Amino acid sequence: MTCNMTQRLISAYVDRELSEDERARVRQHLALCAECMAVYEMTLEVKTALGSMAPSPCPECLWENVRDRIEALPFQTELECAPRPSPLRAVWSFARLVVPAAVAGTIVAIPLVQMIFGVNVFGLAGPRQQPLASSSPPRLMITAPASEESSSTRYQAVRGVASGQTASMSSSSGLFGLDAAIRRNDKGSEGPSSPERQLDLLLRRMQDSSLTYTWIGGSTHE
Amino acid sequence: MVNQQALATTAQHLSKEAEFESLVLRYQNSVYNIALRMSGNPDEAQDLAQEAFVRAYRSFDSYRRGTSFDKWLYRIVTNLYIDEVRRRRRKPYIESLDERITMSGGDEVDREIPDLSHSPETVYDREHLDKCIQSALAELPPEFRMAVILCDIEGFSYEEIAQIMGTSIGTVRSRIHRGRRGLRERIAPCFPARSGEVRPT
Repeated sequence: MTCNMTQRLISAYVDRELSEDERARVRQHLALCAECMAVYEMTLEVKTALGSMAPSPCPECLWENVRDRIEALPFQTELECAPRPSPLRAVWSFARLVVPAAVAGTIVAIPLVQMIFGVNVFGLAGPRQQPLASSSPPRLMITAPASEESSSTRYQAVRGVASGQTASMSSSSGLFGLDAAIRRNDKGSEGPSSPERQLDLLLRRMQDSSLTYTWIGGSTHE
Repeated sequence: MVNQQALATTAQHLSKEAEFESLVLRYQNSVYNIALRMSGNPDEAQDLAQEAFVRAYRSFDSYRRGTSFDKWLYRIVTNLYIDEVRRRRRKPYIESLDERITMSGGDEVDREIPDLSHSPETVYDREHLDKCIQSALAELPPEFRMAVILCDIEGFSYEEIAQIMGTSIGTVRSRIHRGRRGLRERIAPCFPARSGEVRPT
């Protein structure tokens, strides 16, 4: 072991932080090298001198000053620590409740007005109008049935408006039909009869806010 | 109406403060002493120690009970002291010997300065040696200074120092080696008898 290597390990040797192997090699070198031995002794001297420095007493006012500063810190309760809802979040939670209800109300009101007062709100309905043209992009159509006898009125329950899904209206086959729902609700009784009964059932089911009911354009005769 | 939640929180706050006070009283001498050795200035040391405890209190909730409080505290102390000492640089503590000393009662008295300049014992005087070491410490980079202080004054092992300083044991070994080498060179004049024995390398 060279003097350079030994002197690099002397501090750790003094601190007893060397492995047994390193320690033995340093000890061996020190026994033969007066120069490194002098460095070792001086290192030991420095360590001893540092360790025996007279400790300065801590000022008595230390804790008092710390306590004053701690007490001046804002007092945090658990409620204050809880994340405050942001204004944006408040608007969103309000809208999440109100918007589906408003949409559902509107959707129910339009056919009601049409059916009770015989007013065609859109002025588009006709017995031969196809509710959804296959060439046009899917869109929501709300039309009144052309006539009593021709309408086998179809209601369609579209789940997912409240949860943000986009309901495809181009095909009704995969959607949850109200007719089926009514049949399920009225197990044991006969199927849907009059439009009034269907509306009554529809209104009852509207109480479930997670469902939005869309009435797709009336004429189904093909 | 009394808010039970607020009462519980207040009680928790008070018990936290009581627990923290007992820990401060237990460690304040050590924390202050490290600050004094790092800064070399009693006023600055007091500021540093206060700041360290306030920081510790702020993050006291993150301290896991049952683990070593002193390591957790000294880690805060180390980070703060190294940063602050480096930021403030070295502002040597200068105290005029002609300045009158204010006693605790408010009285002012003259400083008594014994003339020991011709006494050979002066060299080995404890106070003189401490000042010599202190000024030598001040010459070291803060990381080396802190490693040597933690090792020689506080008595931590290399592994503990590595945990406190957030470094590897190899880095600690290197810092202590280089720190002591710097101290050896600077303190040697304080040991005339000893320095004479050190042969040139």
